[in-house]
Formats: sequence, C-alpha cells, structure tokens
Amino acid sequence: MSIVNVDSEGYLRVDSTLLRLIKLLLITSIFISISFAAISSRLFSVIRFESIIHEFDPWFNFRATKYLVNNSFYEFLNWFDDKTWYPLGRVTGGTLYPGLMVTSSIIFRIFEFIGMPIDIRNICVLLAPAFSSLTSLAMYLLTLEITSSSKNLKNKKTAALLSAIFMGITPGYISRSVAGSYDNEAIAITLLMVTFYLWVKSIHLGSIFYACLTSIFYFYMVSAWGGYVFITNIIPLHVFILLLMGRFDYKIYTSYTTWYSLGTLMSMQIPFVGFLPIRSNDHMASFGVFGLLQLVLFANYLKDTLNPLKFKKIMLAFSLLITIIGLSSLILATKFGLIAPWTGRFYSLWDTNYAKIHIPIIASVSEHQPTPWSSFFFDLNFMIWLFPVGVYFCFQDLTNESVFIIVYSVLGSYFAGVMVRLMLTLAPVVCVCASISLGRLFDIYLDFKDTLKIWYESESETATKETKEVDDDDEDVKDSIFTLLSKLTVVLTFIYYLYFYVQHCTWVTSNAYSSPSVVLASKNPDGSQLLIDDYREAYYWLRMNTKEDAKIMAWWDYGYQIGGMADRTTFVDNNTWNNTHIATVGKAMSVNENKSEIIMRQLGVDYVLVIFGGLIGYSGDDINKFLWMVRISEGIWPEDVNERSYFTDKGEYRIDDMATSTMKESLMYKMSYYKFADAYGTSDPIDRVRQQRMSSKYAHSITLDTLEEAFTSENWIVRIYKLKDLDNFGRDLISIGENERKNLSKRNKRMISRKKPNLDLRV
Amino acid sequence: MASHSKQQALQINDKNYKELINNEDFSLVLLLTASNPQIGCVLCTEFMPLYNHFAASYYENLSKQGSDQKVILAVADFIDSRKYFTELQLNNVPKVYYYAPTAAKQMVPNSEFEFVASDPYRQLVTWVVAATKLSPELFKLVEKRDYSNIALNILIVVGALGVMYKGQKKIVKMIYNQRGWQGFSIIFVILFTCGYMFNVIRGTQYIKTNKDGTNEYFIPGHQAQLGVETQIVSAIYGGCTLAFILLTDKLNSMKNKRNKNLVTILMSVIIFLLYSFLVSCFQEKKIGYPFWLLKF
Repeated sequence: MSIVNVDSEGYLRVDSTLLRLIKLLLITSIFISISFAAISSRLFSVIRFESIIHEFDPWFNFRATKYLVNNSFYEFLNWFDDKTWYPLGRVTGGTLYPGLMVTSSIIFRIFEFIGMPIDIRNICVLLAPAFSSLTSLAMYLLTLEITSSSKNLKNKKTAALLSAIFMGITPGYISRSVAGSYDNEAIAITLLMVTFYLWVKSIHLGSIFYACLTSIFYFYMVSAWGGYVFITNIIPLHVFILLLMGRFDYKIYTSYTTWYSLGTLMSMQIPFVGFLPIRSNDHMASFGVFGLLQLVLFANYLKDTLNPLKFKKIMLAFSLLITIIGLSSLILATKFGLIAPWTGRFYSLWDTNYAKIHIPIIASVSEHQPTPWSSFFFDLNFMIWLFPVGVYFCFQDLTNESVFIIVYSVLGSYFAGVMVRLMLTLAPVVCVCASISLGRLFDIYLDFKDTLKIWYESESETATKETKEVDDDDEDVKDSIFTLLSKLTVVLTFIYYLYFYVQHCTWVTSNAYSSPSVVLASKNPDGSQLLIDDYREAYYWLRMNTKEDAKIMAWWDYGYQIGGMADRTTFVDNNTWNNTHIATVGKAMSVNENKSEIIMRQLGVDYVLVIFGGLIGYSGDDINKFLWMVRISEGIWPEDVNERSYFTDKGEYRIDDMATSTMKESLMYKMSYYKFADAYGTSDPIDRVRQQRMSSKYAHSITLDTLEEAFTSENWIVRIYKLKDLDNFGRDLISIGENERKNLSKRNKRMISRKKPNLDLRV
Repeated sequence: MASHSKQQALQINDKNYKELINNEDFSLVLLLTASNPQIGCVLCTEFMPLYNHFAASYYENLSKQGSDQKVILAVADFIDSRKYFTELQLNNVPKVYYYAPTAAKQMVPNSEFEFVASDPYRQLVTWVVAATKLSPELFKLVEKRDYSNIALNILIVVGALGVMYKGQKKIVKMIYNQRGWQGFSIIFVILFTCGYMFNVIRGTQYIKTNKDGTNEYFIPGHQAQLGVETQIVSAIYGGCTLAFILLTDKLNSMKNKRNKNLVTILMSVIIFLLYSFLVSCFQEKKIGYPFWLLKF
C-alpha cells in the first residue's frame, strides 16, 4: 500500500504517519521562524552600535559575571566588594540574585568545553535574545495547556502558536530583553512562563512530578529575580479562589503542597533570600493557603464520617476559632518582630501615595511611575483590546486552568497600571488572552468546509438532476457566496491587524527600546547618524588617567557604570541599599562649596563626576535630577537642605541669572556651569535643556575653588573634577581663590571693557 | 478675645479683625485663605483641614496642660474679611503669618510660613515653634475620636450583617453568579489598561480647556494624561470587546444565515472603525507615530 491513495469515493487518503510527519515539520519550521523573528528583532542595537552592555544595572551584572567567571562559585557567594559604597563596601555575594550570572557563566563554560571559546561579554549581550526565543516556546506550551483542557477552546494549536509569536515580538517584553540589556528580567520572564506552565500542568494532572518541576523552576526564578514574589502570591491566590469555588480535590492538594514545601525549602538556599520565606509578610499568603488546604482536607474527611448537622456545627465553630487564632498570631508575630512587616516596595503597590511620602528614593525612579493608556497601547498594540475578550472566553468555560488566567489578568493589569515596569509581567497574560480570542475567531472564520461542500454538492447535483430544485440550490449557492464574503471580510481585516502589529512592534523596538543609553544616537543636520559617545570617552579617561584606587563621587545612577566601565571605586550606586549614604552624597552636591568640601574630605573623595546636558540638550542630566538629590538629603538633614530654597519666589526652577542664591552656590550647579561661558565666547550662553539664557557676564563669574576641572567630554555631557589637595600653608582653598580673583580682576575688567565697543560694532 | 470656643481656630471677619489686631497680649498665628470654590484655590482647600486640626490639637493640649495661652490661632477667609485683606494688600493666598504681640497693627508679619510639598504638618509645627518659642509639646497632634463616625460605622456593619442574614440565599446566589464576576473582571481589566490608576495617583485634570474656549481631549506624551482620555479609550476598548464577542460567540446561535452574514460584516466594520479611531488617538499621544488605518 502506498502512502497516498485515491479511494473509491474519490477522496484523497493519506497515511497518518506521513500526516504526523508533515505536522511536525510544519510546527518545527514555525518555531524556527518565531525564534528567528524574536531574536533578530532584538538585535537592532548590536547592528547599529556594537555588542555593548546597556544602561545601568546590566553593567553591574556584567561586572559580577566577570567576577564569577574568574573566580570560583564559593568565592562569588562570599564576594565582599570594597570598590563600591566606599568606605562601607558591599557584601555583594549576599545581596544579589545570582541566577543570571550563574546562567551565563555556565553557558560560557559549556562553549569553552566544546572548544568554542566566546568572550563573556558577547554571551552577556546575547543572553536576553536567546532566552526570549525560549519564552515563546514556554508561551506556546502554556497556551496549549489552557486551551486543550477546555471544550470550547479545544481548537488545535492556532491559539498556542499565535501566543508564541505575540510573545516573541511584543514590545512590552522586548523593552527588557534587547541584546545588551543584561538584566535579571532577561531570564526571569522565561522562568516565570515556564513555572506557570508547569504549575497549570501539575494542577491539571495532579502529578507530583510536575509539581516538583514547578518548584525547581520556582527556585531558579527566586535565584534570578526579586519579582519571584509575584509567583509566591499568585499561585496561593489561584488555589484560594479554587477553594472558594468549591473545587477542592486531591490534584490541587498534591500539587500545591508539593510545590510549597519544596519551593520554600529550595528558595531559602539563596543567600539573599535566606529566611525571608518564613519571616516576611510577602510570603505569608502562601503559608496561609498551605495551612488552609490541610484544614480543608481534614474537613473533607469529617464530612465523609459525620452526619450533616453535626458537621455543620463543628465546621462553624472550627472556622471561627481558626480565623481568630490565625489573625491574632499574625498580628502578634508581626508586633514582636518574628515576621518582618511588608517591604516598602510592596506597600507602594497598594497604597499608591505611600512611596511618594515615605520613600523618595523609590519614587525618584522613573520605572515606578503609574502607566498611562498610551503606554499600554505602545507596548501591546492591538492585543490590548483583545485582552478583555480573552478574559471573557476564560469565563465561558471555567476550568481550573482558565481561573488561573483570570486571576493573573486581573492582578497583572492592576499592577501594570500602578507601575510602568510591571508591564513586563502583564505582557505574557495579554498574549495568552489575545491569542485565545484570535484563535477562536480564526477557527470559526477560516473554516470554509461548509461553503466548499455546498459548492461541490450543487455542482454534482446540477450534473445529475438538471431541472428539479435548481432555484433552491441557487439560493443555497448565493447564500454561501455571501457567507464566504462575510467570512473573508472578517479574516482579511484581522490578518491586516496582524500585519499592522508586526509593523508596530518593529517600529517601537527600533525607535524606543534599542538605544543602549550609554551611547546616544542623534541626527546630523543632513540626516546622517551621529553617535554621542561621551560616557564611554569619560569612563575610559578615568580608567587610563586616574590612580587605580581613586574614589569617584557621582550620583547613584552612574555608580554601576563607573564600576563596570572605569573600574574605579564609587560611593553610591544603583543598589541603593543605604539611604543615608546616598543622602550624604546628595548633600555634598546640594550645599555650598564650603560645606561640601568638608563632606568630601571626610568621605575621601578624589574625583567628582557630573552629567551635564545643557550644551547639546541632553535632558537626562544631573541638573534635572538635582531636585531628587535635594529631596533625599532633606529627608535626613532638613535643617541644612531645604527644597524650597532652590526655587525662585515665583516657584520656578531657574538656572540663569535669576536663580536663587542657594542654587547658585550649590556645588552641583557650579560644577555644571563652570566655564560654561567659554564655550560661547562672548555671547550669552544658553542652556539647551532648560531653555534659559544666562548673561555672559554672570556666566563668567561662576567659580570653583576647591575643585579643578580634570576632564570634560566632547559634548560636555560628562564633566570630571578633581578635589584639590590641601594647601601647603594650611590656607583655606576658597580664600586663596578669592584673593587670586581680586588680583586678576583689574586687568580682566580692563580687557573686557576694551573689547566691548568692538563687539557692539560687529553686531 | 481668648475666651472664644476653645476647640478651634478663631474665625476672623470684617467685624472682629480690628479687635484682634489691636490686642497687645497675644501673639498671633494667622492663616489667610480663600475657601470659596469660585476662587478655585486648590492649596487653600487642601491646607484648611490640616490647619484646623493643628489649631484643635493646640487648644486641646493647652487645656490639658493648663498652661497660659500666649498665642492665638486664627483663620481669615477672603469672603468674610475683605476689608482686612485689602488692608493687608494681599494678592495671593494661602498664607500663614506670624505676628509678635502688638505687631499685627503694622500689617507686616514677623515671619511667614513657606508651603512645602512634603509633610506640611511637621513643617508647620517646626515653623510655629521657631517663631513662637513655645514647646513643641503644645502642638502634638491630637487625634480626635469622632464618636458619631464610629457609631455610624457600627450601625452600617450591623445593618449589613442583618441584611446578609435575611437575604442569605440571594447574596450567596449573587456571589456565585458567574456572569457578575465575568463582567466585573472585564470592566476591571479595561479600566486598568486605560490608565485609570494614572489618573488616581497623579490626580490629573479631567479636560484641558484652551484660552479660546476649545477643549483638548488628548495631551501628547507618555508623561501626561487627561481624565477624559481614559473614558474615551475605555469606551473604544469596550466597543471592540463587545463587537468581538458578538462575532465569535453570540453569532453562532443565530439561525437566519443572511442576517448572520450581515451582522458579521457590520461587526468587522465597527471593529475596523473603532480600531482606526484608536490608532488616530494614539497618534495624538505619540507625535511622529508613522502608522494609521483611517485618518480621522
């Protein structure tokens, strides 16, 4: 028998193994294309710039990875870093999530082992794109698991494949996983999806095997990202809601208890997490549900043995007792400090004004701002309006798995609405929901079997009975054409939306998310690309021209970059673990030279680095961040620093001649505008960020006595100052400067006055 | 003067202000405000309860400690004391002034409070203590126990419990109503994806009116948003959701083929129009967005 046959009725019969083979081939090729799309759309920055680590945090991760590759794992875990947070240092090994570094160092070792040594930097740069293709695979499995267990959504693999491609290129996920953004989220989202898939699978099957796998991936997730708390809370919530719906069964019991006990034990092996899972309130929900499950199990047993009336009475008394004991013990334990209260970041999710009032350092991060609707559309495109439809379909047949999706969507959309960065956790569930709705649509409207059948039948009928019932058949055919037309309208519009989605994603990725922010891209007047490479220029200068143990003071945003690129000691960095230390640096920047010199000498500063964008109009500079320095240091020293005094009487934030005296005297201001006038010759200098014009005379009068300019980058973005050594005769540096200016000023004045008429004539 | 009802700040009006500023025994902390909504002073309305609480705490502490009163806390509202305001030559409110004894006649305050964004209560106390040299103990916040509020809460809880007991079955039915939860979740999701939380947290204004009286419905940029934007966009999402559900779920049960086809086409046209409107809205938010479906 051959593989393809034509049977007696004229149907084509194909051998099932061949069909399966074709199916496999098709799915594999689809996956290869999805991976290709996912990876290649993340490579814009590598192609445009070069293989470079982006932004801030990735620089630290990169540095830590290099340390891990060069030292042993145990040395890494015990790593005390004396090059940051000078003079305190940081117990880095115990205060980081090692998952990312371990992953890339393992990949590095594997490549080395098979004889393909690859530079660790390239592995770090390309880790995120590689994991993104795994994420789409996990997405496929998750959606397949959800759709296959419900009767209405049991529609082959359309939805699952759609979700994979959605996830592969959605900007909401790309934003954190372009090549070079070597951050925890790069692998964490993959792990999140795998964990969720395994969880759904294990609750579906009630299998210990899958529950164990869930906890193993949960452990991996804990080791990789602080956002693991999301899993720690969403799984118990899912189980809790299932219990409320009266869906308790042994499958749920088995998978939850296995996951909880193994997962908690394993997560405690991470040094940074330690005993948090049994001591912090963030984890209490999972513990509570664990206890509740035991009680429900017990109640189930009682229900089988006792008569209904007795059972009811016992249950009532029992549940009352449990609630009271549970609540009071929770409160007591919190009060006596056995359980840590909620962490500040967690608090700010619920009480949205909390961070603004109590933790300015959290509020100062732009990622912690609420999300406007345009960001949702920007990151998710048309999936955002398919999202509610998917939720609707999940309700249509309410399996345990779809309850999970519902819980996830409601919670995820709330969190994403409160904090921009949590868009990342929302994006996967949006992909699932959108693909479920689109999958159903395509299932209904891409099905042309009926139409074809009617045509075929009418043709064969007209061939046999020529005269009878022709009108009726015609009607049928007409109808079917109309149906075909309507189906085509729907299908074509939606295929167009898909095309639009791809266009949108590519555009967003290329324009918004592919800038390394270490190298800035700009356009020349003639349209050609201009790269502004001031950061690397300055960091390289530091690396080459300063002593190896020089201490650089800069605002915390640049701490990781200085550590990673310049390899010099910093005072504060993006880890922000010590608010007082940050406030000290903030105070040194915001008070006048006199007071600042004292702070800097106490800290042991050698160089000060500021970012200044006024010359070329780079808005992310220190003068714009200055208010946060003031605010944070005001939180500690309200008597020395006062935010109000940096604003003019009219409440304006000015930096020109009208600026307040506190502003003009502050070290940050002086460092930014020192010699700014020289760049403009005799004309008035203009700050292109604040759009304010200083008078030339005033701008020339800005002086610095305790610091001397050591380096200013090509576009003035980075300016580095050296703290002058103490005077040999013990004189005050500021008074020396004043005396010198007094002696100079007569000649200078004469020169200026002599020049003036010429100037006027020229104009 | 000091013998007014001791629980709140002294209200000043056109009649009694002369008496107040002519007194020679007390120093004066004075809040000048305009609570009239027509004037539309947001800071005034925000600051007023705080100041009242401050004054109430002060008098409460004073009576508790039994010490002599040296400072009068007073409020002057623009509606009641226009004369005083003109004499002070004020052109903006709110202001908090401190006058040493006998200084009020000269109108020029000895010290003025500077409004700050963070923790205004503490700032106010620090300032008053610095000006009056009184002990900060006097200004410690006294939480008033509002018994009527507590009683009301108890009543509500009891009432709710009663209703719950009476209508047990109905409530249980409501709780277990799948449709209700479905609608609730969908509305919830749409609301949050339309930037509702942004409006709540930032307290954005509802609509922007230009100088020529026209309204603006969208502000460009991801940093700002108007209240009306959320409403427009959530209406679009809602419309799309409904049309999509009709297309994929409800139409299957329709018997008449012709009508079914008509509705199908109609729905996809509606979705197309709504979506293209959404894209054009987005173009207003993101200047330079190159794609569009239909230009509105």
